[in-house]
Amino acid sequence: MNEIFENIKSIIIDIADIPEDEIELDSEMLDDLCLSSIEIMSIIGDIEVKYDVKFASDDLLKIRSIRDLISIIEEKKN
Amino acid sequence: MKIFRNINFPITTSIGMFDLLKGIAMLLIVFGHNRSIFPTMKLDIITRYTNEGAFRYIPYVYEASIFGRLCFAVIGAVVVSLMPALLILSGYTVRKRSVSKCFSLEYKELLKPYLWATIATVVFNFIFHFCFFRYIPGALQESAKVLGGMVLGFSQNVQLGKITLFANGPIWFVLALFWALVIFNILLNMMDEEKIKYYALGLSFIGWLLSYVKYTPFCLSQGLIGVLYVYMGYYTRKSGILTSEHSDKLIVKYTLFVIIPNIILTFFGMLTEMADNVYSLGPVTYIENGLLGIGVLYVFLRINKTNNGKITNALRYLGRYSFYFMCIHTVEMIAFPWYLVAGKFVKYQLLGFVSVYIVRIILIFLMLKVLIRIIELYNRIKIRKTIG
Repeated sequence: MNEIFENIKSIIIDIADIPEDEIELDSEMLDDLCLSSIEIMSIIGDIEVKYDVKFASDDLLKIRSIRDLISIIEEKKN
Repeated sequence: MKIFRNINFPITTSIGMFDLLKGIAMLLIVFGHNRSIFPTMKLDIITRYTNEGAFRYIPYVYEASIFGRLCFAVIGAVVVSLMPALLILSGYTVRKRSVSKCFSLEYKELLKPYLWATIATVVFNFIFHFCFFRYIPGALQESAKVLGGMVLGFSQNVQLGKITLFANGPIWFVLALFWALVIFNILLNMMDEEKIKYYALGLSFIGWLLSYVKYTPFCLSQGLIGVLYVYMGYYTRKSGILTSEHSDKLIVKYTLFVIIPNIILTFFGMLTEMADNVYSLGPVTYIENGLLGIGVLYVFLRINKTNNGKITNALRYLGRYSFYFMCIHTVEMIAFPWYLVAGKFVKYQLLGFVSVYIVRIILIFLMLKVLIRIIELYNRIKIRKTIG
């Protein structure tokens, strides 16, 4: 989980230019990190390529925080 | 109040929560633009005292019944509030950044795609114009008008002396959003948070006044009005309006001061239509429509939770990539002479409207798939280079 978290963190920093210390495992992507829909689209796109997974439309409804995102990635990889 | 109790409950946010609304909005946008190429189709003259309406054979619908007109006013009010709702969504995730950082980020996320869409539109416009009319000087001239209008950011056709510049199409939204977000971020950096609402209101008023100036470039007018909607979105996140349950007192107030006025405004044909700079009663319409937009978002987020069918997920897919959808729709709307296709359906307007609409949606969807695939491949190459 740590490795995935670090990768997601670097993707978020690269796309949304958010300071590293503000990104935590339980950071909510909309309410804490304030990621716009364009940023979310790019972040999810990068994650899909990096981990060779595909997020369905209803998967995104289950993702509130980075922890939720990591859970879904691990679920899809397994 | 029972109807409100069914939708008045707290929810948690998710990154996909707005996708359904955006997907439906995208389809409605294409619907509206498709409607404009069938100007003689009498679809909307169904509640007047006339037997020319497309639905004249359906009892009660065209006979100017108050009930019929009221139903359409309710639907119309919701549809009209969708554009402000899309801007409010953008304000929901606003984050205070330094002015230069915000500008550079919004340039990367909004202006660069706008410029790419401009290039694609001009190139395809030239190609299609030549394919249809086989006359290079004509194709060059028309494409120059498209280029001029898009580079200067005019949301309506503009006549500068003998030169006509064409409107930049649906992508006006992207340009307006750029200004709204950059200017709002400046307010966040320079003003007390308590006073921002007054500045946002004041700037929206300036935007409304600029809407009377035909030559206002770069969708500045819409951008300034957008500052108010971005503020509304920012405020809804800070106060938790969209995710909380609300008291009966607040619901009554909202019904009296927002829902009913919006229905009345739409009933009498007063609306906000930002692309064409139409604000029938000025600040009254765009503020009321914006406030209704918040209510529409509230209801949608609850409906979203309970629907997970194939069609709903397909709409969410469109909503997820709504930004690309908007860019592609701009290219196909401006570059392809749909009016020539519409001209083939002079005698069968409704059939033509439905057929062309379906074809356009399929085309946009296919181009969206291709664009997503190209971006995916580009990302794969980028990641391989980083690892290498």
